[in-house]
Amino acid sequence: MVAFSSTVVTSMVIVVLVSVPFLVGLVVHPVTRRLALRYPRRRLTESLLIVLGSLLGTGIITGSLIVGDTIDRSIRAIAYEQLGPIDEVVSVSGLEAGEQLVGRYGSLEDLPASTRTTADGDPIFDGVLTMMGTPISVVGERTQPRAQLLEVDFVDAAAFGSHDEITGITGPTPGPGQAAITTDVAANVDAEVGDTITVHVYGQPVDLVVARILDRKGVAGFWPLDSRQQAYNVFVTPGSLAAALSGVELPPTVEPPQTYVAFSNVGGVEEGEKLTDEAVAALTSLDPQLSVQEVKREVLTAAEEGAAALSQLYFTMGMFAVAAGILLLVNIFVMLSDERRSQLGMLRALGMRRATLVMAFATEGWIYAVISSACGAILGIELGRIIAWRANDILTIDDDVFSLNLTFAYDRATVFQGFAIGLAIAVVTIVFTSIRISRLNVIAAIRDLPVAHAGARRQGRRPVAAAIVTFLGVAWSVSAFASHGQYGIAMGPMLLIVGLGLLTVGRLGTRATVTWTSLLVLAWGTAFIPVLGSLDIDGDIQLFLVQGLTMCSAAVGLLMVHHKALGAWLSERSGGSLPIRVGLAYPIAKGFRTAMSLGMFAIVILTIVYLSFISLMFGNQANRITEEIAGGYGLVVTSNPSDPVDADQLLAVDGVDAVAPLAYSYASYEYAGSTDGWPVTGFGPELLTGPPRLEELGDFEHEDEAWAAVLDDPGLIIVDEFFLSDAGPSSVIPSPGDEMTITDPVSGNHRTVTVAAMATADFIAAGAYFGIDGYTDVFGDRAVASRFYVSASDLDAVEDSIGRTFVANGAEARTVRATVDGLLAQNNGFFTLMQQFVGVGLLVGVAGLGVVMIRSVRERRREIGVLRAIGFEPRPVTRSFLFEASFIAVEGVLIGVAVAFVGTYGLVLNSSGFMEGFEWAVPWRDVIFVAGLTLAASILTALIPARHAGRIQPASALRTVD
Amino acid sequence: METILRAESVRKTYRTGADEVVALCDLDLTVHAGEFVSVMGPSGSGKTTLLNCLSGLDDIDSGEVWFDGRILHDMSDLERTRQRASTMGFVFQAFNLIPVFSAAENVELPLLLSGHSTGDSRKRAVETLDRVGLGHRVDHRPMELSGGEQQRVAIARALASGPQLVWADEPTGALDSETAGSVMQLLHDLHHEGLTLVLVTHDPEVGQSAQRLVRMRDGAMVEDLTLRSPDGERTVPQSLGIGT
Repeated sequence: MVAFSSTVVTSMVIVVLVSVPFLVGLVVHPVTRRLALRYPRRRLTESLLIVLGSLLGTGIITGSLIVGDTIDRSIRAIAYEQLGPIDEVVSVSGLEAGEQLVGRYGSLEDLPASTRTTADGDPIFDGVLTMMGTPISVVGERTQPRAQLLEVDFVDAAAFGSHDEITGITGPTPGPGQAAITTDVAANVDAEVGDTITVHVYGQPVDLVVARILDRKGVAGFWPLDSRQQAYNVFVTPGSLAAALSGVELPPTVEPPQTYVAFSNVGGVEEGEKLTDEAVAALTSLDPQLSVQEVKREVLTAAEEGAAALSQLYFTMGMFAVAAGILLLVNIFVMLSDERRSQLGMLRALGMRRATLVMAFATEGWIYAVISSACGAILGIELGRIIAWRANDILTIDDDVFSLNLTFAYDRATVFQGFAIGLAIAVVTIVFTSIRISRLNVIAAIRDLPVAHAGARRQGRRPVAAAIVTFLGVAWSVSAFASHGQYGIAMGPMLLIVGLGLLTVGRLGTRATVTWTSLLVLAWGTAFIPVLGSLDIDGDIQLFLVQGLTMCSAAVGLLMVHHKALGAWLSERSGGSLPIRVGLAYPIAKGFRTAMSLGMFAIVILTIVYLSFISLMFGNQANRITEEIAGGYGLVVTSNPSDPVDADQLLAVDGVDAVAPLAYSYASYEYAGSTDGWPVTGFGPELLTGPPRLEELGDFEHEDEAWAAVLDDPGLIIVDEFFLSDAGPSSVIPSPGDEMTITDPVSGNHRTVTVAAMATADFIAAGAYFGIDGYTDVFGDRAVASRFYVSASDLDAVEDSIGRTFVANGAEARTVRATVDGLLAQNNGFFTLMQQFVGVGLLVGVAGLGVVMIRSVRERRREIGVLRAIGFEPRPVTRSFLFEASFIAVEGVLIGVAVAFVGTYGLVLNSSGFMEGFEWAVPWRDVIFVAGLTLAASILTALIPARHAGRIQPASALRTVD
Repeated sequence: METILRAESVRKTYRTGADEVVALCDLDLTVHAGEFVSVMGPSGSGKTTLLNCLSGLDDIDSGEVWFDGRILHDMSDLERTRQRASTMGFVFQAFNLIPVFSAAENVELPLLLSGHSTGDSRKRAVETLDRVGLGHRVDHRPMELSGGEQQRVAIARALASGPQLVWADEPTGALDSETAGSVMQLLHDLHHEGLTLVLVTHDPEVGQSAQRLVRMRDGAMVEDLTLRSPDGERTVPQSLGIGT
């Protein structure tokens, strides 16, 4: 029996729930069946347009979900590439400790039988492998400053785990004077089999002949030194390090070799992780002090979290385009009902119940929705492929640490999920629209009269509705402010405004009421972001969606009630031009249709321009960010902890003014209920001459005070707003006073520390700043100064000089500015990618406009005939339709741009958000480009129906009855 | 004669902003089975409002309309809808046929809506089309039919479910005189077969051809004249200029 994943089951349930009523209707009700099936077949062009306009929404949803699959698969690839069968690792520092560790846990047989099985008697482990390693630098034709020397028995390694394919290790162990290197080393130093490379180990150059080149896979890709995806490994015969260090006493300023005991759980590369809890319990039962690193679980969790975060980001941004798609569907169905109004009225007169009318209309819509969702889901695969391709370009940068190779991938379950969600959204929209349509006045419909004024009964219900909405608005606002609920703070007051509007509309009239309520909603839509900031609440990305949609709705409403006046003003300004007057008349007369079209454009334009603003403002921060991060230093130098550069050696380099030595490692942090890995920097008094800027000082009055306190007190640390986050600002940002536990994953030493202050956003992966005494308490002999902040007058020259001079130490120098520029460029790339993704929604707006124009021509055929009969020439008829399309497009663009302007201004006003300190700047180039592109596309779309209108012959048009 | 419809003191007012228009002012009207009643009056006299209100398509402000032994406006919208499907037929000036359905499919609509089986509905539809002279056009769609033929299809649709009363609102308004004549002849033939018909028109010739003429002005009935006896003999001389 095939087992379906929960995604597939949920999707199936959704598809069944939204489809069964219509399938039943099609089978059981012949009238429903005929109406639903006949129209799509008879009006093929229209049906095609409806499907085309609707499929983009599903395409965007599916594309965003597939982005998650790609990220998940790409990060999971790391599990295959860098771990393979390795599920847990226990490591110690130093040769002696390493020998003891190997003696206790070096093979499966060393483990007591009771620890090798679960409570049910099933085996936990299927392999144990020992390795010893140390950071080195490698020199061939070129240099690889950061590499790792690993000793491992290749026979043992090949047998480790379930298959040597997974292990990545084949063949015999390299002999003395030989090395097996990974493809990453081979590429970077330009070495082939048979070449000689020089590795610098603890200050000694050692020549090795390349015996084999291994793919970055499994044990061959084991890379515990930092977060980069590459693995610059050089494998040598076991005992090499011990031989090299024989008789040598390593000074405390260097990190001794690390011994790793890797455990493989039963189940293979991904399934083995399921036994991690049992494995950790078994190992710690032997020694409660044993620090077991759940390396595989960390990678797989990072894959899931990274995928979820990015997928959610794209999904949320894509929702704007989906919202535009919903408006298009509503518009299309309202137009269809307009066209068939007299028929629908007649059906009601004949005895068709309202429910049956809804069912017939909605069933037709369901057919369109099924086809468009299926096509959209397939389109989503290609959208996801394009995003993955573009994102890969963006993510592959010079700096390995921040680089990530993406491999496009998707699950069929994801595509089905996209289909199900798209179908559900379309069907719900269609059903609600059909219910609305079914409330037609039978007589007015039959006789094609204007819609009747709202009946007395409906007007009577308004005060009740107003009171309820007002009460809900008050209640939500009050409770949200009390509990700091971001959505309630944003929307509660808006609901209250709407309720008060309903109360006053009878007295003030629609126009005045919509005017004041829209203005207030716009004002609150701008103001609530700084209000959230003043309450120290950081909004979710979804809040941006709420802000955008509400402000666009308010802006469209405001425009619509003044549309007539605007039209009159424009007519006057045009000198009474007939094409312009005729082109304005219809959008003004068909308010609902125009509002939907404006909404479609405005929502998407808002998002694209908003992203342009954010991207530009971020980009403009390079100088400020660099200054704040670098403090008094402009260069970051890293070197191998096993043979680090000396601070004095750096000071001796020409042009270097000051050096702050730092210890650097990866720690495990327990905070806010979860445990995550993140860098930590141990600093000494040298840093205090020019430390990074602090944003929040907690209980301290000056930044110097805070830094000095952290240096002196091992119980204090400094973190930043990106702390423990993998994709942009954290959702749980620490504050001064928060406590967390920092643990050395190697030794298991830990300490509870308090956040003393918050630094500015960390672009150089410094992680938490910890005074060197506290750092040493936790990291012991791994507290080695291998990282340095350097100040110099000519940073580029010094960077170059250090890279050439300290090759043996594996020194890598990079200016803070270059790192910031690289990351901001990556940021910018992502914003651009997201704009392009959301920009697909512009197609919805343009398609929507096309549908509106085609319908316009058809509905006004008779009027066009009259115009032509009284002397209107073909060209002015065409121009009037083109003007109409341009008018709608321009208004929609202006609304979107205006709301983006206002929204981003409010964001910058936010006192404590991630954009604090940013200066509001307008991306004029992007705004003009997007506006121009939209206008051009709209005119092109309208061209065919406009020309068709111009060719209508008066006689045949006037003959048209039905 | 059996009373099919009885309206007592029916009042209908339309409100537009501050303005009020009394479309029907305390109207009383009784229609008996087998009658052919025409309703005439100038534009805005309330004749169409009369049709809409007495058929239950529109609400009334006061009064009662009895149909088939029940007060029409005491029923819910759902009950009135069912009532229309099974007991009333409608013919309108603009035909209002479903353009994507054939003639037969248009005619069988009220049958399907009132729960008849597909086979039975089709059989009756074809028979009714035959009855109105369109037995050879059952599979044609409206755009393939002339105006007169379309109106005949609309009449067939109104008759298909065997209604007690057919309402016709300007059935000849969109037709040329010859076609209008043939359509009216059809209606007369159907009336002679026992159809009860209430017809709204502004055409004096059409109005006078009915059995009974009700004249409206400013929402009130100003005249209710029996023009012909049940056997079709004129009871009011045409020379008196009634109806002109």
